[in-house]
Amino acid sequence: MLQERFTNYCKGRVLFILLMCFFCLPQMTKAAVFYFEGAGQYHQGDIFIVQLRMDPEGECINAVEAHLSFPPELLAVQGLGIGQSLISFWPQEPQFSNEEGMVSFTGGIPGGYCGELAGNPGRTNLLLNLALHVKESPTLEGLSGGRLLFLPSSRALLNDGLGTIAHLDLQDFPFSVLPVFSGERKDEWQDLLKSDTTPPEPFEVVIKQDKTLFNGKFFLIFSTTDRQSGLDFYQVKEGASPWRGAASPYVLEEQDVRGIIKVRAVDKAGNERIATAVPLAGGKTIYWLAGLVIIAIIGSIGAKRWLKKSS
Amino acid sequence: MTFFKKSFLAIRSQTLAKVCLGLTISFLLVVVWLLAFSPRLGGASNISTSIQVISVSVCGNDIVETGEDCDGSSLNNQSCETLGYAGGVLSCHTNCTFNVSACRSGPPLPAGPGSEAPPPAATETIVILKGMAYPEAVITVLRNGQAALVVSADKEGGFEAEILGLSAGLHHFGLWAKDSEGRRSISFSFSVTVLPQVITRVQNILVPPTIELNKDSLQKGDVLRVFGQATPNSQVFFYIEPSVLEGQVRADSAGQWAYSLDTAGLAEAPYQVKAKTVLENGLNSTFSSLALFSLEAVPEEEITEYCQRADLNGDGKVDLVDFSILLYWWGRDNACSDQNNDGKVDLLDLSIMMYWWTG
Repeated sequence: MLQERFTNYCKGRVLFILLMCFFCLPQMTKAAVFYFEGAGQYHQGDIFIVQLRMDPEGECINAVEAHLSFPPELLAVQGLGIGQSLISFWPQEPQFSNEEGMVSFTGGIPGGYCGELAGNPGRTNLLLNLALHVKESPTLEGLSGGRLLFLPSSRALLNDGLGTIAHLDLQDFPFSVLPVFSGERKDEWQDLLKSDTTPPEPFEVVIKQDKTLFNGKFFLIFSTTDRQSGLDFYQVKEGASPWRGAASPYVLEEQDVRGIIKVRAVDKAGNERIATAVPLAGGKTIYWLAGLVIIAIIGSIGAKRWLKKSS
Repeated sequence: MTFFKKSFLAIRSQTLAKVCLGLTISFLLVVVWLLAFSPRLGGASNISTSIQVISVSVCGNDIVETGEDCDGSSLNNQSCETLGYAGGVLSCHTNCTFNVSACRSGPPLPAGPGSEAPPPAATETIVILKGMAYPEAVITVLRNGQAALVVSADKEGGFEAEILGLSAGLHHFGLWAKDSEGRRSISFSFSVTVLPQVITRVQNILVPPTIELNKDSLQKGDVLRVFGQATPNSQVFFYIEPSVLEGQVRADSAGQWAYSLDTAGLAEAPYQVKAKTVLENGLNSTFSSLALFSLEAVPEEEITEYCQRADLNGDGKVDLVDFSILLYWWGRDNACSDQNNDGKVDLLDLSIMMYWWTG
């Protein structure tokens, strides 16, 4: 009897403490968080946007690599918007596979991201706007659903100069799929694109040459951002040649670098900004010009002397 | 009968409850102790990160925020009379300073706030960055990773940078400073939501101190001197890791600070040093860049010094050109681009480059 009372009394207390530690200890350990944000319920046929966000939770993060999955039988990627992303540089821009139900990207944040500033009139922790189309299926009756997941291969790195991998908490996003809505279908991606009438930010194009890169060939470096729908693609035009798809760094086709070079940045809504580079300092044009000047000087000196001799 | 059962039987029920309660309290105390003192669990000794408390105020939202005299119709309970005028109607300029043009002067009064000529109306979207660096430091402001503006700090280290012609939306700003000896601070950044046709003020920016060592390779017993420049008369907290020393020194009126360490008691190993500034009002900066030194013989490496700080082309900057070089070698092995020497150029190297970024 006494033993039973002791056992029951302590069991309750110990269980309470263990449960408290189980829920509290993860909160005590600092970890950045990757999470999704969205409405959670969508009708078949709709196109909705889910936002991928990051909370550094007291750390400063300067590089992220994200891999996420979605149920391909229910959803298909319609678009990827990086316009409002806190990532400035993309070694791997967001890519997706609707067959495999995967999205991935890698990005860098110069100086790191340490969280929201007090008083800031908005949110700054967006990684990516993910536009998803809910497939219509006559076999889906009533309510069904799935989850968006960050895969364990996702990583975030601390802004400590050492390449330290941050502790990361990956949060799923459960969602429900409702039958086709009888009214107007929602297309949040098109709404976002229609609201963007601003071209990408102004930028410069730099012509470079380095004997250790690209076998010493001339190449271009360029980068800009679009703060609304996000950049879609770049194109390069060398002299009279047609526009070609491009990414920085871009090895020039015409290595004599004589013509004017233009780079066009186009955002997801089709707005464009063009930057121009005149290859004077980096190309062979300057040598041509210098040669012409030298010939002109020699020619004029020679002509002067000949005229003097003649007279 | 086991010893445990005998013990049970020997103790009265009230005592059993007290024993159980005692165990519970002990366990809770252990958990609290771990919370308070364990660095792993976010306790007081965690020095992996130092976060600045930068604040943002928006001029044009009718709310008087830090750094504003007034905002729209909100006059912060001020009037012409409270500002030293005889009467009249006080209003607010579009840059959130008082407009006293309609205030009536009585007998001559000392100049009060807002008595200067009215500034031009703000029709552009403007961001103002305000904070403290070192006396007459040259400060480079980055926007979205690229250099946008260069300003100079005054003799007390105060600076203000005004950025015009922005589009509304999210912008990422960064700052780094060059001190009077030409040393560069680490660059640090923050994200701001910029609203259209208003003035957004970002204040309480505190540039981390610069840091330098007299030597990067020492023999045991040598004196290591750690020095640099910070905000004048601030406290500089420094940390020599791993787990060697943490302390503080006061920067003088010129912002210079220094500390000397006798290395006789240190083990032969590589070390890193970092520092942060703390002002009298409690504001603290992020950490400085890391300064590295070693007490062991370091083999000659082919990697040049600038490669170690992500300046892959040796032009004295870490910018888009270096990022392009990193991209070129992405996934492959390159002695310069492989910043952490793990045999491949990948996300870890990108992280190290983002840390040293200057734009």
